Amino acid sequence: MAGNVFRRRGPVEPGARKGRMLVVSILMAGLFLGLIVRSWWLQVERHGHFADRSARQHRTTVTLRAPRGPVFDRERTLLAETAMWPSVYAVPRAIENPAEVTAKLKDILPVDEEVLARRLSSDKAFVWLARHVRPDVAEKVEALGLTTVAIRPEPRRLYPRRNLAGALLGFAGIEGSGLEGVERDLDRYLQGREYTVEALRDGAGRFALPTGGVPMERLTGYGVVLTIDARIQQVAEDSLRNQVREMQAKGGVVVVMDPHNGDILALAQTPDFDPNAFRQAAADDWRNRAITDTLEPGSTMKPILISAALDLNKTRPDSVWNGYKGRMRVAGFTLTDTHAEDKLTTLEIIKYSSNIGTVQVAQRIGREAYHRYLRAFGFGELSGLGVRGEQVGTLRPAQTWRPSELATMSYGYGLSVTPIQMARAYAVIANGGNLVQPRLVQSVVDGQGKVVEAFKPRVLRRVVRADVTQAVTEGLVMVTENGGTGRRARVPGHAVAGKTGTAYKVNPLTRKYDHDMIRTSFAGFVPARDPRLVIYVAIDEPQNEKRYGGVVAAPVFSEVAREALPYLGVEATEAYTADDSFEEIDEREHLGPEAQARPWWFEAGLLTGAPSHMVVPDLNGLPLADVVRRAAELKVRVQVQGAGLVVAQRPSPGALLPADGVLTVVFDRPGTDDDHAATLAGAQ
Amino acid sequence: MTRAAAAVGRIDWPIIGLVVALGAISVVNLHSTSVAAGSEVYLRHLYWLLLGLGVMAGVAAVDYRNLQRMAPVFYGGVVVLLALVLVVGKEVNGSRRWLDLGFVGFQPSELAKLAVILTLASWFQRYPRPAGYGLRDLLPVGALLGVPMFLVLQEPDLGHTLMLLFIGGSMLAFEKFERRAMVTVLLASLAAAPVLWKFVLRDYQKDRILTLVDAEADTHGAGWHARQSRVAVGSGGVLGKGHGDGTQVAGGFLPENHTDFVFANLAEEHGFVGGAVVLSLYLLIILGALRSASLARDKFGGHVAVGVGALVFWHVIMNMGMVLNVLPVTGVTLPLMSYGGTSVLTVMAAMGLLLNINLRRTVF
Repeated sequence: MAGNVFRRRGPVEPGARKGRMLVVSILMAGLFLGLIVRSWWLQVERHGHFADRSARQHRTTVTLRAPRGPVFDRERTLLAETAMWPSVYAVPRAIENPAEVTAKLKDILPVDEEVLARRLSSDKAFVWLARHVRPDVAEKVEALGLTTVAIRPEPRRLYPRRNLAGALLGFAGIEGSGLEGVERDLDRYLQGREYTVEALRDGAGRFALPTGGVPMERLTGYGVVLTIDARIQQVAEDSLRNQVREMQAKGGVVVVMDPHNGDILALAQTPDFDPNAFRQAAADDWRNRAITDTLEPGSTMKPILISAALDLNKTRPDSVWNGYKGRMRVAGFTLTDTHAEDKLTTLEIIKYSSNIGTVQVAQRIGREAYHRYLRAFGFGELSGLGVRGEQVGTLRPAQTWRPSELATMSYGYGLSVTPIQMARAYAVIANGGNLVQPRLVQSVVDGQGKVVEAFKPRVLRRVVRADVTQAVTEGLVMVTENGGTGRRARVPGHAVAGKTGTAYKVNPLTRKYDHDMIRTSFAGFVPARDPRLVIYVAIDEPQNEKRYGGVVAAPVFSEVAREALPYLGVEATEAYTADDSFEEIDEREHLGPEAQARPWWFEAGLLTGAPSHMVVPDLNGLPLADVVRRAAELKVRVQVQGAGLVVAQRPSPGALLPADGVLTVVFDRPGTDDDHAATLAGAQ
Repeated sequence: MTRAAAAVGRIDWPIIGLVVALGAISVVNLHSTSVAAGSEVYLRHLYWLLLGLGVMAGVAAVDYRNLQRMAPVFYGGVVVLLALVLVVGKEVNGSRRWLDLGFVGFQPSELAKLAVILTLASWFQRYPRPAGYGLRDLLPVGALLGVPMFLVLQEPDLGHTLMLLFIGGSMLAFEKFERRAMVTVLLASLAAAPVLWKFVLRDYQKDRILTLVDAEADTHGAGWHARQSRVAVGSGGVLGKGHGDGTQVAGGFLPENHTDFVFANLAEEHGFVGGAVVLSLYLLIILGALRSASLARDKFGGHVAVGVGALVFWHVIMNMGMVLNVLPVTGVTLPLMSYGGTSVLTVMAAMGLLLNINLRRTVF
């Protein structure tokens, strides 16, 4: 038997093997040392480098946005708030049988089966299936016990009063930024702060977001306290809505304002929409009409002219003017007054809404002075409400007025104003002669309700003397007294000062004043001698028999004032009753420039800033070829988005589009759930 | 002193202690990666280790000279299994290395190492050449080594093929050869290298070797494992990130983290110090094996001890070299640390052989 060749000592073959054992041991120890050195190199010398690489791999920062702050009315009633709401998401990559999951979900989620199937069979690691679902839907999804489909609460903007002040509030998008209205304009206060959290990531790309440690109360957006009074807003909206429905009108606007500090107490409009479901409303209805819609004011402008004349001492309240028995030739056309008078005082011009009277007053003060006062009353300038999209209206320089225009301008044609401008001008008369800046936002508050920033009311300038406003107020009170055009504006227990307006609109197709298109309005304040509320009401294209401001708009004024005054603690002190006479009196007022059936300024584009307008055609459901043909016929520029059939357009069918405007048309294939409204909003 | 008492006195307690220590460390280490993955791999590994201790005791109990007689049978059986795995083996990632026994997978290439150790030792014992082995003697030695190597390479399993070569080579290094034979083998090896590169190695195997040179070149293919392993180890630093706090290996950036790359997790969580401790334990086992070789009562025992030491040594070198990015990525496990039943049982059986040789060593 052979001996052990490895034995260091012993009888068999010493020497050579002993040396070999040593060599092998040294070689092995050397290789081990090599590993140790390599470890040292990686882990000690180059540790910083690799620690860095490691951190970059497994750490990732995720930027999130804290919830938006609430919107309150002046009484801190919630108008908009943010709640956590369940959303359903899936991890399609982990789904083995998308068809099976689709089958389970299709009757639960408010999503098209096709869309659901497509999303579930995608290759993504994360996909939303339905965002902001009803709680019972979320429960049903959870009851399925799927591992690949789950619920995640997301902040959701809620408007608890639904349609109330919808267009004023606007709305915020699903990612938490304001898109329209107050939500957009005060976004810098309302929007939650962005914050980054360090998320851990693993090799499969899964994230783990650490919970807690985020000072959410400091990151949540500030609250905004509006000057709006939700109760008055509600009254204004209800009253307006009822009247618009009753008169089968196209729409309407109500502005309620505190004449002394300019606080906007209500901004109502019809048609309205629910910002909770803003996508279901036409994009055209999103706009805040009180500031974006310009209109020819008509007779409501007369008290402004009279104020100017009185302030210039060109006349006295009791000065007597020739009534020309209701017919007067001026600057090449004949004026007629419904209320044919032989003589009338300055204040009776207001009471009877006499065009013949106002033309003479305007001629006496001249176009420069009239223009100067119109500017002083705030026309032709932004009101400073602070809401984007506000229009200036049109007030051309006095030098460009023709003699005939001084005449039409005197009873409110040939210039355009916004409802907010009109309300503000009446506030000047109501508060003794000061122009105030309308205020919509009272303050910005933090989560505890502490005021972070307050917005002070601002008086901009003195416009007319106090004795002038007192005199004009008396004239305006006469309007609502027996024999006046606006007696339906009366409020029990209060004297009401106000003026009716009934104006023809220009038909965009014929470019002539259309006797079937009338905008009625009523502007006034109450109580007349200690005004607390300025209310402006405009109702567009009523279809009733007597389409006058005194019949259509004045009742809304009355109703809003009657309901709102008690909220403000104003007691009924005077002996006025609501509508003390059923005597059929002629409430008509002169409708305007019949002699100028085809207004040259409209043609010349001076009023609207464009040579002509066109009525937007309804292109819904048409293929691209038809849209192109129609666009060529109408000579309108079209911007095309998407492919398929027309699913949306802006402006909406029937709206007016300036000739140089662009009609945006969105195409899509049937059955997809893309958000057309959002596309349009983006295209704006 | 009775014979039994003498035997108890010759039990190699240090080796047993080292095995238990490594086993304990491996369970703790696997605990970290399994918890992260939500599995119970560390528990199953513990069961294999306990079973392995039984196997170790069993192997130690039978006089190794009986094993010497059994060696040819064992060798024949392993060759059959290696051939079988090529036919009915379970295909995983493009290679057939596993025999599916239903309840558990089984890797014949692991057993092949033991078979080669026992067979070569047995051959040297049976055919002693005090003047040195000549070229003619090398033919059967080459055949004994070459057949299993060839079969393992067909799986393909380059790691284990090299393992067999290195173990066999290490054992040969302790024998005396004629000068002519040595020169011929060296020249033949040099000549064969390019041929092997061109015709035997598969593309992915070449890639793994090439990425060693330039690991950044391919960050998602062959270089991915290498790069991630380096990041894990390097980010561990001197003391490591702490048990369960590793982000790279346990975080799933490094696949195969409980088998081949298990050391990366240890180095990440326990740093340079942890790695050095484990390396030291292996070194002690290897030195113990060499000591057993020099104390063995016969040539067979000495060769087996050297083979066992070489097995542990080359496993550690190839595995850690791979983890530390100095050697190509081959599926060679880290003895006792890597999860895997066949691997654990093979190493335990090898440890049993060491104990066996020590129990029956010559008493001075």
